[in-house]
Amino acid sequence: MSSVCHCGSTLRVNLPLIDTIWRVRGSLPLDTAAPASEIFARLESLFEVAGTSYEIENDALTFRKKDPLSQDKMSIYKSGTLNVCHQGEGRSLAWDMQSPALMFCFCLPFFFLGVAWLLDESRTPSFVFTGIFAFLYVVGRILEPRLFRAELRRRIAGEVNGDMGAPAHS
Amino acid sequence: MDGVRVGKRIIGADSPVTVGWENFGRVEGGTVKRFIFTWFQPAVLVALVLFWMYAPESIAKTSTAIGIGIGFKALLYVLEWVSPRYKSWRLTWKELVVDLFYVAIAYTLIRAVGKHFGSDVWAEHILAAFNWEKFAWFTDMPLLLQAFLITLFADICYYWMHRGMHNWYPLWLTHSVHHYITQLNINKGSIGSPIEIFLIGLGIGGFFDFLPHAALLAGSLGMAISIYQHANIRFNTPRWWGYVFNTTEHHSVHHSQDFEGSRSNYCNTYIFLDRIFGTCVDGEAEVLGMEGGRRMSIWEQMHYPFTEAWKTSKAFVQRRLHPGASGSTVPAE
Repeated sequence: MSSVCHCGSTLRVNLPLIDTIWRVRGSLPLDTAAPASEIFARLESLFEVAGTSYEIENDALTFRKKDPLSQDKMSIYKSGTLNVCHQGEGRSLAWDMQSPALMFCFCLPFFFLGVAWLLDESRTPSFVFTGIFAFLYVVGRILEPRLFRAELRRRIAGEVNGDMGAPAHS
Repeated sequence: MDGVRVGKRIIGADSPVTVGWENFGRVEGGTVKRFIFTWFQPAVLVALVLFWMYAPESIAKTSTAIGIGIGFKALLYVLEWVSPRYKSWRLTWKELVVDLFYVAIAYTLIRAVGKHFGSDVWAEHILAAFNWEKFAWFTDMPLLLQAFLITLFADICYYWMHRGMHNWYPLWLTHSVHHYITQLNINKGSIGSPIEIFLIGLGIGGFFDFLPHAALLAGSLGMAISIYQHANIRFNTPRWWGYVFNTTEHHSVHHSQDFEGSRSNYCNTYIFLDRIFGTCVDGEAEVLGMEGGRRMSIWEQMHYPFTEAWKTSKAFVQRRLHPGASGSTVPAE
């Protein structure tokens, strides 16, 4: 059984600054004595959605997504791990996730700068969209991890049950 | 699912479709909100018509139209937030980024290609060969009538091109990508294969530039009616408006997962064309998309028409070479 919080350290290639672009890490103190299995049971409906596979092993939940639905609350993430970590007296839930959507948005300003450079007639709209995507990246990089953290907190506190809010696609 | 008979067809047998204006959802809220969301569409249409009819030449130009278009889209974002039609279509950060990526491609790369190979080039050559004196009967008509006839002609062309896309496999391959969207919002009209966006852009754009004021008024008419078709806004659309014009309700049926529903409401502006040609369904739908609502990634959207064409061609050749062998056929839709 893993008793050491290893999120954000050695699971993948460690690029502490650069990988912040597409990698989301965070943690949430657990003020409940419930075992890890109970914590993950409260979060399970987040992962029981179309396009998502996951497995729980001891204190870790690992998931993978392929083409998640629009209303999937974790649609920007492709894979990741959530760990129940023991730190001194307390415990916390820590996560480490990869987001190709953040990476895509990060690249878009450079792409449209390139378009502006190549196509003189599209210069003005290209610069406008460069600015829009740069702004959207900053908004997404700050907002999405906060929304995810708030969602976890609500679910662990038992304030949310199941429903993802999406229509029933088969 | 039983579905509802509309003309000779059963609508909603594959996926839920609400048929009949009396069954639509209504705007929730106070008197002022309900008043605004009942009369918003007609009021904007009247305001834009008056503006373009009486605006002095110094401001009645293309840049003004572009500015109004961008500002109006921003306003519709606010309306989507104030009065969403379905919460299951709410805008997320990722949806916004993907939508704007397609909008940006249309404004930059596709527009640049269109300038060199699109309808502007054809129009320039064709118009140069016209005998203008023979068009005096048209240019002598009232400005509003000219604009209406331009939009009507454009919409008849659009209707048949769109209907063709749903009935001829090579065109369907490019259009099908647009039908994988699972929710509507103001920018969803831009989502699709870049080839289709380019083909749609061909249309008749540029052919009426010799009538600058009428063309601007026509563009404004089209925008004031058809811009709502992909919007996630709950309106109390007046019955007469929905009888004449295309609405977001009509277009959601066109995007529904129901096969017969998706083969309805082909027009861009005037739904009476669908009524005339027998393809109108007065309804609305929440569950949209293809293949049970499967999400298509941007990468797949880019290559789908080509890879599907390759798979179909390969299967066709194999059936010809080995007629006895069992193999699956690829349906057109």
